[in-house]
Amino acid sequence: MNTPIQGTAADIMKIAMIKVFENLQKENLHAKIILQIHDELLIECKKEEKEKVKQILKESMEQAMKLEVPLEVEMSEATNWYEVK
Amino acid sequence: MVAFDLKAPTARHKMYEGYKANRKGMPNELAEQMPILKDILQAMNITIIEKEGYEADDILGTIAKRAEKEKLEVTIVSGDRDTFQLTSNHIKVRIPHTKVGKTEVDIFDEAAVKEKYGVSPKELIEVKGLMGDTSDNIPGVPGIGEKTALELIKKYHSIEKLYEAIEKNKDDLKPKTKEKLVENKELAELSRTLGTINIQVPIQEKIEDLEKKEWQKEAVFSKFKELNFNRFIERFHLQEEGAKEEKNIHDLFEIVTISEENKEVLTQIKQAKQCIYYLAKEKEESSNIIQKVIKAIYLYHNKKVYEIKIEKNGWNDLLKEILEDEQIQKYGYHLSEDYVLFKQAGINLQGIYFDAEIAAYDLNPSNSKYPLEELASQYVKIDIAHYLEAFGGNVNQNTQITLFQTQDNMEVQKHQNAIFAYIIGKLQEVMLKELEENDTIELFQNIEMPLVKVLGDMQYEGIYVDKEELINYGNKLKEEIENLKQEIYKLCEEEFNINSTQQLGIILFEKLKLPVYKKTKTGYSTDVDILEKLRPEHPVIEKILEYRGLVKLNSTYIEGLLPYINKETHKIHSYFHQTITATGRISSTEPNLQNIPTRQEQGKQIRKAFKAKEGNIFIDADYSQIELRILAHISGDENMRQAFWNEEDIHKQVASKVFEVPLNEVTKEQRGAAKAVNFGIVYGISGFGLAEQLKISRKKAEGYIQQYLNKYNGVKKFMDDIVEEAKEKGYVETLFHRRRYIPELSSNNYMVRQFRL
Repeated sequence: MNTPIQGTAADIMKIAMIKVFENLQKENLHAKIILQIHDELLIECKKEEKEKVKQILKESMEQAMKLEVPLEVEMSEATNWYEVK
Repeated sequence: MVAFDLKAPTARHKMYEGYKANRKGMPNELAEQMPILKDILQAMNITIIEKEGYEADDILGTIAKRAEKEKLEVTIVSGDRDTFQLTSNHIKVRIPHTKVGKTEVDIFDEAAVKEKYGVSPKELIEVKGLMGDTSDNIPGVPGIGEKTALELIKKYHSIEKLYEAIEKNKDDLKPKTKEKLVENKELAELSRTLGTINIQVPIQEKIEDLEKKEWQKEAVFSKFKELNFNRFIERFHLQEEGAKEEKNIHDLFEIVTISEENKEVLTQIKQAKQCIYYLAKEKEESSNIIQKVIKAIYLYHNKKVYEIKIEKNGWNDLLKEILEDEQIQKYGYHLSEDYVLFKQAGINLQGIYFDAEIAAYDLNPSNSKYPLEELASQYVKIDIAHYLEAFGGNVNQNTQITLFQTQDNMEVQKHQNAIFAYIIGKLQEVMLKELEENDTIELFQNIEMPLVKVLGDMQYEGIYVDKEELINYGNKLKEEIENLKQEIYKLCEEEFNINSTQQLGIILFEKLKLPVYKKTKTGYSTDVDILEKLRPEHPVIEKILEYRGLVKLNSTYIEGLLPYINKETHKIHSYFHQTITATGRISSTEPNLQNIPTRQEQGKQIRKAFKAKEGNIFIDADYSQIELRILAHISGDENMRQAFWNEEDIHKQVASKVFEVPLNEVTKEQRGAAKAVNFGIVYGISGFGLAEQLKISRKKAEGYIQQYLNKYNGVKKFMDDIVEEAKEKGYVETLFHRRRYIPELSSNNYMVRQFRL
């Protein structure tokens, strides 16, 4: 019964992933989506690409779907998975 | 006749609150089958009896005893040994069970019961009164198991006589047993009542009404056909012998093997911009990301299936060009795996347009698997096995064995692969139309299909794991486990096998004499929830819980992950699936990387071994409160929208409204409670669940929820509407029209209960 909400979140995440994937390719970046955990994406990229990648992530995810309230994305970075959150 | 339980509480629930309290409801997959089963019974003209306030066993008991009085021979078929109490010389119980994949039936009458248990059927009720029944949560006398109970009843014949003997001091019981019995007389009597099948149910149906009638053969046949119960159709001779048509695969299509000379079909496919194919794959040990190789490709085009065998690196240039051409639409099955396999072969699959597995999932996500055979029979009414009979049978999709392949086997396989390609061609017509009718086509074409290569790419890319670091951490865990072990031994003043629940049970409940909450067939229950209850009773419990946690951590996440590290890439390449969950979420397997612990520090440490490569960095992007934002959007609740637009702390706002205090006076506890309510609303926990979580009374928790719904009336309206809509349509859907069907909806309050919190 929670499908309308949880399922919509899943749909939005999928749209975001497609956008991130396409935009990374368009910008010729080496960054790759490597994990997807519920509402979270983990990307691996070259250190020097980092700012560009972050911008793409933020835009692609927050604009995945226009809702009547803003979508917000929180980001963090580290060299291992433990430290990103 | 067939008797069913109803969901309504029975007299037993009213007598004893705990009755069957440990039972979880029927799993959804099973519940969905019930209406089908009832339909079939109806078509067979078999009477169905169900009665509010009574269990199926009571109905069976009443009918059996009445029939016996009318001098009939009665057979009860049941999986439940409780029915043994009904047996007599004229009432038999047949218990079917599976043994090494075959169904066997045990038959019990009065004599057989006596032989097995040494007591009469009626006395079995007394036995149950003493020993209880964990599956029904009937308490029995604590500390009395089956063995003792049987001995006592053999000797005293009933609970009543047993207690008489005790009162008159004419018993010869061990002091310990006697003490237990004396202390729990009421429990014994209650348990006996609970365990007694009622044979006086007021049932209107007369025995003669239940006489076997002719089946409505047509109706049964069409039901069985629909369900693909072909064996039953044969067994009950539902189809005239002559009517059974010969199925010839060549009526469907012609198979052509392509060689260098006749490859013009590839040009035709290219021009048609439509490539319908099925890959023949074989498992092969290697350091590849997916350890399978492509053996052949089967292309369906214009009523013919073309087979192209693939030798290593032997890809036809034109075929490669077709596969990589974005403009040529690909139709296939389970394409994310194909995508990776092609990538391994140096081919970049493009133009992914139709995946039959995903189409089936988008049409109804409640199954966990969508084998092509089933899709074929469901959507295009083709029984693949039937067509393959001519070649000697059916080869299971996943067990294509490479060694010792016989010629016959290869023939079956070839034809199976060919028919799969053909089926995909047929499926796409039907399924795309259905997706359109359901208004799900955009979800399918704009979200699901483009996602296929994203997921394939994630698997191909993988995540690097520092094997040495993982092993080192495993060793550290093992050391801690060893230390805990010694502490536990010390606290228990004895060495034993902590992993053996039997040994642990004896230590905890016999040696340390901790209170017994639950017993199992083999001894005492030492489940986590039981241990949690015992935590304040003894310091060793804490250690055992910790010990178990670490053992699990080590086995699941260290030993469990290590084999998945690819020898060549040093990465883990999990599968990401888009056809598993009922809600539409992505899941991962082999291994599941979505459930690596995040909360407990010791579990979280495992993530340290997952590293970015030299010169690289990880960026984590997390949607903040996406579900609540979606709730605000869909429900249109003004208060909630305001909170997000004003960048307020939503949990704080909820706390302020639920507890009616100004925003700046909300305490940390109130915010915490509000947060739990928020998530409760989104994930659908009950008042009971919320109470457990917040450690408050159920009434109080329900009060919070009520208050929440009063203040956020947009949310309330949304929730009411959804229930209404679900009842009316039989399904609910997401903003993007992803459907989820809700079975057995209008017939009961199951869902309302789930949703009302």
